[in-house]
Amino acid sequence: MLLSKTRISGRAVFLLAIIGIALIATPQFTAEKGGIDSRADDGCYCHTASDATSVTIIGLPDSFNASTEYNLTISVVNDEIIGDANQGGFRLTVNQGTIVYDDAKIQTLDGGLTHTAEGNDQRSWDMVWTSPADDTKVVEFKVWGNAVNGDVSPQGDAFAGTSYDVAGVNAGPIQEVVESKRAMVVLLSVVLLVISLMTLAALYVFYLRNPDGFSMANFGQWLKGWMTTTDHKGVGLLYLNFGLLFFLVGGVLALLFRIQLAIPMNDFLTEQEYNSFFTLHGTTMVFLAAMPMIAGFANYIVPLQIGAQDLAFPRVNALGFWLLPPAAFMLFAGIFSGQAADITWVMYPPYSTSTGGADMSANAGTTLFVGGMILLGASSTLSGVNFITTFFTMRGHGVSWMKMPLFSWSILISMFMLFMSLPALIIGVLMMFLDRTIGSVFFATNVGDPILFQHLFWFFGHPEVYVVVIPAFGVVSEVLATSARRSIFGYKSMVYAMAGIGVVGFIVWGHHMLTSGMDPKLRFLMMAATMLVALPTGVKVFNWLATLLGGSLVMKTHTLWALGFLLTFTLGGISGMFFPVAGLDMHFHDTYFVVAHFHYVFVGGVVFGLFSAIYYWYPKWTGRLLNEKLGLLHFLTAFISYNAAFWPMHRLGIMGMPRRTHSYAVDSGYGDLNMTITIWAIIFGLSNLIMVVNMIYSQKKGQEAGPDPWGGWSIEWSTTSPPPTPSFAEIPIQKDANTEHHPDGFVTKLAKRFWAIGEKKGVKK
Amino acid sequence: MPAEYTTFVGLYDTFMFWSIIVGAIVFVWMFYAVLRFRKGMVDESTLEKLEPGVFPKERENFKLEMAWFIIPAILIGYLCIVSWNSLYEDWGNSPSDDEAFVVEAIATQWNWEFKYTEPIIVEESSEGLLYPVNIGVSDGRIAISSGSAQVNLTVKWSNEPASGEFNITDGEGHVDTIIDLQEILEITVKDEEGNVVHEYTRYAAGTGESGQVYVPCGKEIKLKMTSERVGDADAVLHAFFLPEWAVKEDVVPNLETILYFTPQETGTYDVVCAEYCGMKHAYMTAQITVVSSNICGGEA
Repeated sequence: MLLSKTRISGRAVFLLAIIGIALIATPQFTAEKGGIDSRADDGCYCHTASDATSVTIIGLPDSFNASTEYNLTISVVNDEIIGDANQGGFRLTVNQGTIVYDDAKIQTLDGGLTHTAEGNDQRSWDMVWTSPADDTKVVEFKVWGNAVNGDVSPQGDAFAGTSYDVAGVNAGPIQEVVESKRAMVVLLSVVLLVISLMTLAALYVFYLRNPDGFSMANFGQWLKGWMTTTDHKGVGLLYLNFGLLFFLVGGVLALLFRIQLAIPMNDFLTEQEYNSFFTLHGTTMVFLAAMPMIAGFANYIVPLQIGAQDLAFPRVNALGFWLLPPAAFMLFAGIFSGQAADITWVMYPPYSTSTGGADMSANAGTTLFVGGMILLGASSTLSGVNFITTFFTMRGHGVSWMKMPLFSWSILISMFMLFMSLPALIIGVLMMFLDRTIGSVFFATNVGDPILFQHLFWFFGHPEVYVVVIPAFGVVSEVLATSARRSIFGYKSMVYAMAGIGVVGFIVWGHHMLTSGMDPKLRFLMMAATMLVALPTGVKVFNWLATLLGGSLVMKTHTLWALGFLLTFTLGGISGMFFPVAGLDMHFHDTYFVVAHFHYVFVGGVVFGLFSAIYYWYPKWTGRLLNEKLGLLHFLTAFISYNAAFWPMHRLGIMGMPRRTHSYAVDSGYGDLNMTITIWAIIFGLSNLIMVVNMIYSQKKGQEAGPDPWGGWSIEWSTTSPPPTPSFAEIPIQKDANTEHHPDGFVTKLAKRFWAIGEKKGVKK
Repeated sequence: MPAEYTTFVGLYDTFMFWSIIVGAIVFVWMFYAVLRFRKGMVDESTLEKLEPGVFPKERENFKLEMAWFIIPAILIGYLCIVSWNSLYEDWGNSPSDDEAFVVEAIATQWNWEFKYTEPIIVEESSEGLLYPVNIGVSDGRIAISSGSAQVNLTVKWSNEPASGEFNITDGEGHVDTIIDLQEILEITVKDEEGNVVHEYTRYAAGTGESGQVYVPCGKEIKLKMTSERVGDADAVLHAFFLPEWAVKEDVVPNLETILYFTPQETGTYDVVCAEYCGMKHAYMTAQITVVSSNICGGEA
């Protein structure tokens, strides 16, 4: 026992040592401009600061005229230190205009000017500064001078610095510059604020549960319960809260860069910040918001729907969730050093693997970002294994494959797709991680193949789109049928359609790469395959519509969201048909038309489906209904502002505005539409807070729900709200209202004969 | 919005037509169903019973479901056929180097550089000029004639490393000099007041500019694109995107990609980078100017 323990810890120490060495070797440490050895903006650290030295720029005008040449002399004076050959040095940074100088004495280094080895022998340097063409600007000169005593060692030298602000003649009086906080700092503060608010909210929720018995010790216990739970309901709620939180984070990021885009040539965000923010927005929304939300519903609802006590591997399930917070931290880590990943959510190399070129290469935070992606892949793989096993082994009595609720079917198909496509992504990001850290050359331009990564990414990326949207199909199928008081029309074709999307979804990835330089023959295949996806999707849409016919539709908030889904998803699906066509994609690829399309399917499809699910299943988690009035208000504001925000993007795409642009020219004509989009986007963002308020308010004050508030048929509605733990005292039995005898088809007969499938889970009549 | 004569516009109209039809069917059906079959308008006892824990009676109609599988399939087949032609035109019909006007485009972070592989002459008279200025360049001579004998014109020319200046007094003038046709030849004609009345530039094969390229109108343009590194950074992906012509193709390091198009209208259009390439991606722009040629007119 003791021996084995020692061995394990020895191994752990070994692993930690490897990680430690890897971290030291990681280029992360050169993240700061100029590396850790230079303090680019503070002067040279190797000399001593001293008041005895004075440094001045002679020849600076009080205010400059536009595009005029000024002769400047930098002079260093220190009477105490006299050198013979080596006398002094300087460093100058000027934020505007250009400088002409003598190459022998002066050089450009680290974004500023400094002396050369030859220019070290003097204490004044001449140069010619040409002022900028815009004479309303204020130019800042920062200069450091060093008096050298002539010996080779830096000891005994003394340096000092000063700065000048020179305004243009039309700049007006120089105003005291108020240090404004960069957006990065603002964002960080927001993150910290959110964390503190969450802690407070958790405290408050705990306090409300039992105001009399409140104590911090109990709070610790309660928190520990949440952090160590392996119950599928507990983990499911953790997933849901995590997902909602990151919807907020991703939304704030989106609003920040929407403000940047509102007017042409805006400088609200720097290019670096803009690029990082849209990268993090995309990754957050897909991997940290939508996927965890879906995992949350899957966790909570699926075992209840198929009559399982829990998932097959509860601890693996909890592990899958707890991999997310560190992954999220890794994705965002770069923000803390101002070097957040700026490689877009598709992470295309060679930009993302390029490290040597300062501003021309990806930010240093990319390394951890890619590491975070690997962790996300691990988390999703664990979920996939877990759900697939649960579906195959733990369905209750009477829940045969073709008697399973459609939401469960959608989760099964989506988990299958995720599980099959993830290896491609993980391999891709792993290779990228190696390229960035140990210098492998999988995607390097001279020997590797950058397009390989695109294939790997989209082999995952396209199925991933269906991984998130198919569960929304499931939700809408449940909600529409229940609200219309009917069974779904064409249950079997719904299942086949989802499975069909699942299969076809794997052979269409190339339509993301039609202009990537891929072989034109492949492009035709991808075009035809992509168009095929419309067929099963069309079957689903028409089946939903047919479900409504002849029904008795109850207009609850979840019904509205499901109908809203139907509207926007159809529009998004139709605009998707434009992309596989050569003549259209040549124009639309990477323009705002793409942005419009995928927001119509991602927000109008996935998020609206998730909203519907929240209103539909909230009573199951809490035992109380969400407030319908607030729900209606949320639907109206969010649905209108959503369409008003994203519809104009189609127009921008047709006009030719490319995606991922920090800004656009004043005469491009994009300005008005962008302003409209920004305003509506802010309204859309705010309107979703109504739902959050509703969720908090209704938890205490909502109307009691009872086990089956909407009249649904699947097993989760037969248990109490919220369900007990374990969820079923004994494995439930699902009955079947289809009384007439179904003679087995040919395939079923064969299967029964040879594999004895169907009998074990056979329907009890 | 792309120019009217591009394949994009025709296809876009076809697709929009069918999109509107499909969208209209779905929306009309949905609003009809929602309004007609609201709660209270149908006797619920006639519907299937939904009870917790009981799989409800299934409803299906094989013929209907096949109908909304097969009819869209026909539509999609039709759209595939319609778009097949554009696939061939845009990607499968690359002209040979001899047929087309070939320009090499080199994408760096964050610049477009262009190199001509055959000479092109760009000529422009100042607006409202009352007399024509004709420039003839032949081996060893630059000859200029103006349509008016009354004006005195000054001609400045440069052809690295040579350059010179001469005057035209009676409507005609010339200079005899050896012209290096491997270099750019620039001729500027000024009137007596020093205003530029006519400019002539002949870009030789192998020369070119950054951020600006001239191509002839009416002739197939073939862009051969490569991506090159700057400094220590690796070369990265870019995409050449010209919204006016509705064409786009990625520029990939270590691979030559090709884009071809036949402009039919003269003018100056913006080129942007459509594949994310780093910090100043948004500002990686260039201009392409289509100059008139004898094949295709235009106002220039």
